[in-house]
Amino acid sequence: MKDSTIKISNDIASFDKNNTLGETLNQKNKRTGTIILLCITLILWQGLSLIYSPIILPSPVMTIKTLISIIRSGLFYRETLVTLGRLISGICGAVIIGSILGILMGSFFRIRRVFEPFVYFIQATPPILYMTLAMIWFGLDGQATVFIIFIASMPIIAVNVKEGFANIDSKLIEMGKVFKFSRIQVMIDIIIPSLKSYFKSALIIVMGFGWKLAVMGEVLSSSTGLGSQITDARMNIETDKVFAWGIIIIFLCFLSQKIVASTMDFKRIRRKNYDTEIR
Amino acid sequence: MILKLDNVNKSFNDIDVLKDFSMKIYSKEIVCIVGPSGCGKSTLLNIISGLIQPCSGKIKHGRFNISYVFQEDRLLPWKNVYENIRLVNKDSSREKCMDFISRVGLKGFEGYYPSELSGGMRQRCSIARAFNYEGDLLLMDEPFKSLDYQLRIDMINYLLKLWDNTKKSIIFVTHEIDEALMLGDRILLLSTRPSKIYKEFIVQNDKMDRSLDDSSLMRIRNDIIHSFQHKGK
Ligand SMILES: Nc1ncnc2c1ncn2[C@@H]1O[C@H](COP(=O)(O)OP(=O)(O)OP(=O)(O)O)[C@@H](O)[C@H]1O
Ligand SMILES: [Mg+2]
Repeated sequence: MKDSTIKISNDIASFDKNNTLGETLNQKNKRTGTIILLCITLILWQGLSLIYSPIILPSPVMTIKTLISIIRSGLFYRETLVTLGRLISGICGAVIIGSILGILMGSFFRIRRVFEPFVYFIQATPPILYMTLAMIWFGLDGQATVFIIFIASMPIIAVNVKEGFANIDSKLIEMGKVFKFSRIQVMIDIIIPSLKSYFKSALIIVMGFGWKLAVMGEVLSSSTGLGSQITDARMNIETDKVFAWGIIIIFLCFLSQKIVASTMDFKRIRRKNYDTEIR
Repeated sequence: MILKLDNVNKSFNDIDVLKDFSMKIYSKEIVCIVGPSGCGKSTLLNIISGLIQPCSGKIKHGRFNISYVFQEDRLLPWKNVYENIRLVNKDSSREKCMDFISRVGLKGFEGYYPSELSGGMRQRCSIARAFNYEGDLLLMDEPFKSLDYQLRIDMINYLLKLWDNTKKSIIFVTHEIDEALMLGDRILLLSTRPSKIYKEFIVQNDKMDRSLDDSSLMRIRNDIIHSFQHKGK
């Protein structure tokens, strides 16, 4: 049954690929392409659902109906909030520790030499191993989920921030030196803004990754959150619910990535007319 | 005298850029430096500003602040024109920053980010930033490149006015001999690498009232062009 959720996310992944490929085309063509692909997927899905029983593959209409009833029930908000809480705690921890580690590794050669292998080691370990350990350490509630999100995201943030350091424009640092910037001013006005785009891309990756890990963690170890609903649906062999929750998760993941991407953009919001202020 | 370089040597890897380079800068003077591209003018300014260390030799000066118009603009991409200028001197008033902005002809562009400006506009922003810092010595590395003829004349006149008000020393690197003739008390012609002062020209005319048609300036001009052809030989 879990395969079905994976199938949906693969479909979405192929959408995404189509989108990026379409970037060379103009906006309108791109949209039409996406819509055509969506239609083909839906038709295929409908066709296959006629062949197989709804337990194997529920039809699109059935899935949508279930989706609507889930959203109407209070369950949707409650479970989403639980998972979101775990996701945010895990990512916040990863951002704080990862940034500190990244900044230290970026600024001090010695610290980098000590911590770099350690960070890569953490990154190379498969998340399921952490999951297993976390279930032993923290038991079967939310903590294990928060832990795997944290431990899988932290190295990504740390490595990206460190990478950002290596790419800071040294000419700007020299400029700061000539004009006698204080250490704090160099940090705030030059280093941190330089790291921003690296930090942003790390955060987007971690957001996408985090949702998947959160759900996986909950499926395996928790009786609350979105993942637990999938577990319930599996136990009751309600494949339509697995599909419906799957769509919800994909949507939430996509939405949160978009939100991160747009809030961290360089927006020219602070454009003021300094001249009129004088008068 | 506010600055003295004594037998300064600088080489990058195998390339000798400066060799036994000595020079003195006096207070209240404008020294123009001309020389072939790649001879080490920017390197010299970087050594004076302390950004790079010479391989050997001495640099003597008192405690002072240096304003630097870099060869590249080196503006912070995430700050707009006003913020870039204000940044180097938090004590300067808004009115003062705005005055510098309008003096370099960027009025109306205070809120623009460097990526939204033309090359010459970024250059002028960088000039205004250096003015706002109010260093005791002003280093300018080809500051007026990519400016049109009229703007260049305006900038030269403004620079002279500023100098007249503050009487701070200026080291001005340029490829335009006319700029050097208009501004310099002394014009140093550097030789090709490894660089030395090939020839020094002293311009006695009053800086505030010079015309390129003046016969003495014409003579120096010809002299520089003639020497340029023989530089370093
Ligand atoms: N960081 C560096 N590493 C290696 N070589 C360098 C470095 N900086 C400058 N050089 C070399 O030093 C020489 C002088 O460079 P410099 O930038 O001082 O020339 P310049 O006189 O300012 O030229 P231009 O008029 O074209 O600006 C060049 O040959 C250059 O290759
Ligand atoms: Mg140069």
